[in-house]
Amino acid sequence: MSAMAFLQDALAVFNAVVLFYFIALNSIYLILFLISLVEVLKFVRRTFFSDYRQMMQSDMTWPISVLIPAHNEEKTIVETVRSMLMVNYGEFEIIVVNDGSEDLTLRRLIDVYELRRTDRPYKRAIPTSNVRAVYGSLSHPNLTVVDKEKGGKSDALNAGINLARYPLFCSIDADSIIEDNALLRVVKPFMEKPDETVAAGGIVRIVNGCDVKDGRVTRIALSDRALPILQVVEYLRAFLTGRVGWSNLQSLLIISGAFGIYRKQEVIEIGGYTHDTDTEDLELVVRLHEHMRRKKKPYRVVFVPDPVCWTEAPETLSVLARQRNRWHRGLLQTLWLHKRMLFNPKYGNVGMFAFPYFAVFELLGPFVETFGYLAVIVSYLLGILDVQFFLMFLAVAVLYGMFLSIAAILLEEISFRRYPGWLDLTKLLAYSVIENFGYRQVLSAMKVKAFWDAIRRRRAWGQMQRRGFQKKDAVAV
Amino acid sequence: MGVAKRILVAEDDPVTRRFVVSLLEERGYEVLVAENGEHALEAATLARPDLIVSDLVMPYRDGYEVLRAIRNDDRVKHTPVLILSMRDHEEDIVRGFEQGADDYVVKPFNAREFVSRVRKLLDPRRA
Amino acid sequence: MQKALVATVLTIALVFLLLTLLIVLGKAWRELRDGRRRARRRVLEPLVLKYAHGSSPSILSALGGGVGAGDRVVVETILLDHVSRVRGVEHERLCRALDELGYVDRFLDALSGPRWWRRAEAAENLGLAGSKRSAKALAEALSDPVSEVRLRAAKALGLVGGRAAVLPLVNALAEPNRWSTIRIADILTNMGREVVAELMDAFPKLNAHAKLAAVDILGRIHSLDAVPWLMSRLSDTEADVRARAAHALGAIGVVDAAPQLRRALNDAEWPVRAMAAKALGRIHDAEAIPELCAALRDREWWVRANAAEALKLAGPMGIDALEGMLADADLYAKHQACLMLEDAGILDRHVAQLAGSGAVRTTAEAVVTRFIQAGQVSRLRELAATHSELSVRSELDRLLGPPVPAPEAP
Repeated sequence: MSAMAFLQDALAVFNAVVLFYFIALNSIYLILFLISLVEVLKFVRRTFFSDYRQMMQSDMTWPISVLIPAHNEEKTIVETVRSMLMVNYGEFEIIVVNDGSEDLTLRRLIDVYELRRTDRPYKRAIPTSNVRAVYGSLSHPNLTVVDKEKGGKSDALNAGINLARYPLFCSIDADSIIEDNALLRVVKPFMEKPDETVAAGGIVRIVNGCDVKDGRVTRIALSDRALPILQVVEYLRAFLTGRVGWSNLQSLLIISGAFGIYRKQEVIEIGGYTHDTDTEDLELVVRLHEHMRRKKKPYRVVFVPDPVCWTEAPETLSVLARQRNRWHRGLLQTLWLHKRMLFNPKYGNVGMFAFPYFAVFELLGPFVETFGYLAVIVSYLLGILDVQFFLMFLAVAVLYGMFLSIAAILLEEISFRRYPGWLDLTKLLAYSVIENFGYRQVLSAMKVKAFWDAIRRRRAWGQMQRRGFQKKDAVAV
Repeated sequence: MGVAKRILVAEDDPVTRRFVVSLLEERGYEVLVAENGEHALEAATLARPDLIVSDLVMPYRDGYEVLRAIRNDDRVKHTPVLILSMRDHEEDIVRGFEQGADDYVVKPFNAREFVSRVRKLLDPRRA
Repeated sequence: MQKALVATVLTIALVFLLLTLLIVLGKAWRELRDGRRRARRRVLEPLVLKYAHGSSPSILSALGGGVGAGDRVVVETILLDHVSRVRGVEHERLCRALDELGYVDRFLDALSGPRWWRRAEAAENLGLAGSKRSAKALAEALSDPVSEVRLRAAKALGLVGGRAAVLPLVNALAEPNRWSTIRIADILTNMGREVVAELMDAFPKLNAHAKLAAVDILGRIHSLDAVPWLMSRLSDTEADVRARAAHALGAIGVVDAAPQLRRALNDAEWPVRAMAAKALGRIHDAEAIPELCAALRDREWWVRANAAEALKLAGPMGIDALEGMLADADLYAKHQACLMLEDAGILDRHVAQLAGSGAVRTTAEAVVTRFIQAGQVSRLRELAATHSELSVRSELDRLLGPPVPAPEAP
């Protein structure tokens, strides 16, 4: 058999695999989308305005401890705290954890909020690096600031958890903007099923292009630049059509680090956040799933499609690459750490649906995708490209994907309609097409590189440094 | 009869705002509106109303901040302030009075009671 | 293969175009409709408000005779928006308007409709409209197959009020499978005093779960009328009922109940003792101090903790009593007293005075020494290392001595 013939046969097999992969992937997306469609419509119908007002006043609404880890945030910390203080909620406290900032973060807080040292007793349920002092605010009795030695974001969150008074805590990134009613909305699942709900996450939206004043979004609009718009489409797809579906299947693995709310008791039971991965929020939720399954009690991790956290998305390719590299490394590390859950019926839907999905489509998928495209190019260059296959490939990889992107826009339009302008709608529609001609492919390639990086890092495990703070910690799949 | 008294209404909920405005205008008062804490402060210092009706939970500056700022500003520190808020917990009410409010009405509120309180605060016989 | 390919591409393209069309047309239609509604609202809302404020005798005359077909939704929304924000005469006028314009009847019809979300919406609107004559229909809706509808109906009954509304709700209390008891309890609590008589009446017929909820509700309503009844519940055969009754009496905070609560401190069951202690804390009963000190020796942690808290709340006399218990023979009592004094910041205050002189300093040293003898040294060690004043730190070091293994915790 000649080399060429062999190559052609090999390529044919590979092509079939790639085709099958894309059909499978997009079909799963389709199923998730249909589930999400039903859920979102139900959600929209179920939400009447009076609910929130009543919840705000009711004594039965659980109080929340809002944790804001901060490192070198002198420019924005005062605004962030201010906007959190004005959030619509009944009883809540804010705990800012100053994680060994070298700038004026603490100083600014002390000045603006009239902080004084307190001796508030607390239990060190989770070990953290040294806490230097705890401050209370004279002007705002529900504000506490913890000053501690640098330990990284996970460590800061753990310190906050130690100090938290209330049964629920909410982790918020220092540079995210939370909407007025977001807390009320994200706590609703806990009020509906207080014994079962252990964690809830809300949607993260991209603030690039919006008008922001004094820590509030005053006008919602799309950016002028291509990259943020592409990410908006991606997030809409991932959140509205992806996570809602996963949540409904009781397999939600990811709650954004930018905005998530958890039951304190269970998180303390599992030892809080760890430093083992680059995405501590993902790892925490997976570990929660594991723990709750082992406890054999009914529980749920919920995604709420409406409360909104606005976060800044990377505007340049290099920053985007770094962000996605970290997310993917974190994902791989988490999957590896909890690999015993894969296909393990003891872990229910998470083990049988979510884990295999992530293993195949997030772990192996990028390879299949990237090499699939490469194979097409190589075939073309070698002159052995099968035109029929190529067109089929285009159809399932690109067109099918386009259809799902636009389905996400449709879902957004019939439910939340955050982008009211016609121009913005046109942009979204246009970019939902463009997204599939290059953006997704580039993301796949980034994931391949991330995989490589993750493996190399593991070999250097012993020398792995504590991960410092990273901005913009929203996670999307 | 005299010049109509001027009331500043600071309220972010448009429906409540429209209700309160129409209620007060019906009774013959001149009403100014502010949609958030910052507008409220601006309007208070520029227009020097005879009474301020203010919500607590408002964007940009909450009612307590507005109250504090007014009480610290010599030009307007004697303006009577009536807080109209959904918050009905003891701490909120106590804090409102401590910060300098002259009255506190809880929402949902009785319109006629509210008007009586407004009238009392606007009474020129007050010291 | 060729055909399959073409078919796939065409289908996808078609669906794609259809979706785009849907989005665009839907948006256009919605914008037109909303724009129109906003314009009509600007015209109609002032008229409705004028009626609400009393300038017009009836809603129909205020609106110039009637409501155009296209305006129904707008007027309905205006009325519903305002009716929930106001009370008193204006509220009644708005409710009457909803009735006169026939909207309440529409809601009642929708309450038996086929789509669950419309039924739920109808239930909610009936609640907002405060329509007493819909109580019967709402009570029936309490058995709707969809939980969302049931919940809205319950809330609506809570808003509507009146005997016809209270009874079905109290009965719903007795169905823990169907209903989140907490939700019903919340609704009943918000209804306030009018549920008191019904609850007390229905009490004997309720099941165990509901009885507890009923007692809780009476406590949360702060109903003075229920106090005698609650006091008699302190001798109920069920321990849980006795405990909740004690808690409720504490919540209401009536001093008359103090003697009975003091007796309840000696109940055979610990939940009752614990709640009695908590209630005495709320009442700030100084006469109970000796009994509360005795309760510090209780076998159950919760009783001890509540008793300690009650002593703290009893003011300076209570604090003195706690400090006295530091020398008690009972290990549990000592420990609890230490915890409470530390929690209340009293220990820190004494420590700060170690740098001073005179009687104050002697007392402080005595207290600190008792803490050390009881083995409660962790806070002291922390202060010895971190307190801002050098003299205090050295005093503490002197008193603490070299680190010894802590005695066995109780």
